[in-house]
Amino acid sequence: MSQYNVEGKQLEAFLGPLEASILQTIWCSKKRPITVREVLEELKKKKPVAYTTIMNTMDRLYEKGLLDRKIEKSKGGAYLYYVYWPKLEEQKFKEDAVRQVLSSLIDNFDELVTSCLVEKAAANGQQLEALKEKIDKTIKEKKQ
Amino acid sequence: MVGLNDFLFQIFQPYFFYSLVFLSIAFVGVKVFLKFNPFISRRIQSIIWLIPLFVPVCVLLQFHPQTEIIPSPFVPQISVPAGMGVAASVPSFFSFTGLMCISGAVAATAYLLFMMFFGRKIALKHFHVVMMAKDENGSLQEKVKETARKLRISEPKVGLIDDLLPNAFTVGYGRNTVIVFSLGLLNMLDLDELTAVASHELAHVKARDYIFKSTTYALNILSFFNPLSYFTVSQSQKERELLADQKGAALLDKPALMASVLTKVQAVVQEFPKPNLADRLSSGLFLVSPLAHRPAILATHPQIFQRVQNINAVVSRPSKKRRYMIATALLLGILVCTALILGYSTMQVQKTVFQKENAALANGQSVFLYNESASFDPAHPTGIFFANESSLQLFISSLPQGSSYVGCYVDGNGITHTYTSTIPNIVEVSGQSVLVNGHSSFIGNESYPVDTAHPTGNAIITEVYFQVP
Repeated sequence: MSQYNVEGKQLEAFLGPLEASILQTIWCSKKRPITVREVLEELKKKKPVAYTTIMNTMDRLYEKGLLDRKIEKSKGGAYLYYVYWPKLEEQKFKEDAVRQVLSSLIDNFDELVTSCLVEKAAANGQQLEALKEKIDKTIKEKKQ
Repeated sequence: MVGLNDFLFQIFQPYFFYSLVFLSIAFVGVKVFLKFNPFISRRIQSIIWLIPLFVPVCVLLQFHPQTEIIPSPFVPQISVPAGMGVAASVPSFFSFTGLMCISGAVAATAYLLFMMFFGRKIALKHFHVVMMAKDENGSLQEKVKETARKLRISEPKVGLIDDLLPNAFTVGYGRNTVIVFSLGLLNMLDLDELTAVASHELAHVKARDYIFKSTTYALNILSFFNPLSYFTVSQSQKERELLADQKGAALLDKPALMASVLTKVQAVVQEFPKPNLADRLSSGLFLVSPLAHRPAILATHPQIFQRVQNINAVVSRPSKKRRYMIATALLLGILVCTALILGYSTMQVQKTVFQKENAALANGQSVFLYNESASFDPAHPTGIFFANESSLQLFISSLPQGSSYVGCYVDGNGITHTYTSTIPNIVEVSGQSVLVNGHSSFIGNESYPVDTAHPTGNAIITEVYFQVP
């Protein structure tokens, strides 16, 4: 994760808006692997978008390591095309991304981050409980 | 038991036989003709190649394929059981070739209609064509529009397919034309080179090749049983391709660019695995000019070196020589004469065929004898036609004693006469007249010049038929 957008919502905090919606589409799609055209057809339902734009964005996602791809042959072999599939599932991706951002924050601003976390969690009683449980559990495990 | 005769009857089913033979003759004729006249323009050449394909259509108009064969080559064989009506006891049998011809004709019509109305839609769907957005590949779309304006055709839509192989093709006709580029092509070529490809495709549009191709394929389906029709289609398609290369190259600032693009595309295509035959054929059926095709005898596209040579020839075209023009005229004359002779002999054969075909219809009480023309009289469903007197005589002699003859005619003064007579009294059949009981009426054509030897000359025969007791 090279960037974090403070203003972005959900996935858009880590990715560009189109990147996010493409990934979301691929995760939601039942069809794996998926072609650029199929992603386009899905996204077109929401707003007009050009094939090449989607293609370039998926290319970028591949280079970033979020998508994987291979060349597929049509039945007769007259036709070659790229098919894509996600390297990580949605939950795993989110976890990894958050972990990456947080560890970078902790590495840089150690104390600040932990107090900030506790503060944030304190605003919601349940979250604070969950945090406490996690901390206790981790301490126990470390002792063993 | 299938004997040699059965086999021969199958082969000699008129439509099947004549379309097979005449298409082959025309194919050889065109091949030889073009061999000696290499300077005829590509457009004319491609149209000349259509002649052999249209021959079966002409034959179809003359002879209709029939699912029943009546094995009676020249004389109507009608045996009449005593005391009964004239019954058709000629055994007829099922014709496989006839069924094949009919299914070919039906399939051809269906294909043509389908291509004209749904071809574009289906092809776009089959190849998953994505229409380019307005701002997508803007400069290419602009170039396509510019070239279309140069050719004075309506601006086509531009689409793309996610094929990584370099390829381009055109679907549809008129205002609904779509030019499709493959992703591989867009990635491989720069704007100038893509413009060259676009002008090749637009030259196809200008030449209305979608319709041309659909028609030739439909004609091919019509005579699918004739191997030569495939060669003919392939030849005419190749000519169209070369024509599009020429016209396309002429539109470019640097015509040589067309040749270099083709070479470049071919070099890349060669590296990819060969698509299987079924896929190649199915794509060929749908599209005008997929740019990259492997050279083959039956390919719709000429070999690349041939195309390059052709484009270079545009730059330095040799002048037409006079003797070639003379040879052209001579050969054309021969071709026309051959066609006329063939046409005449076809007509002659046809007469016999009518006689043969309709003889079997004789049943029930009356046999209707009218004239040679094909217009069948529904009032007399047992119609029978005679091409000449000898077959008529033979027929009369086969009728039982006591059969009557009825002849109606309108004479030169507009008065209608009717003659009735019994069979033994038909004493003479001579010339074109049948003499009945001292009177005469004419059998043959409907109208005659005045014949002084026969008082009923200038008559118009309205009805002549035989009544069996």
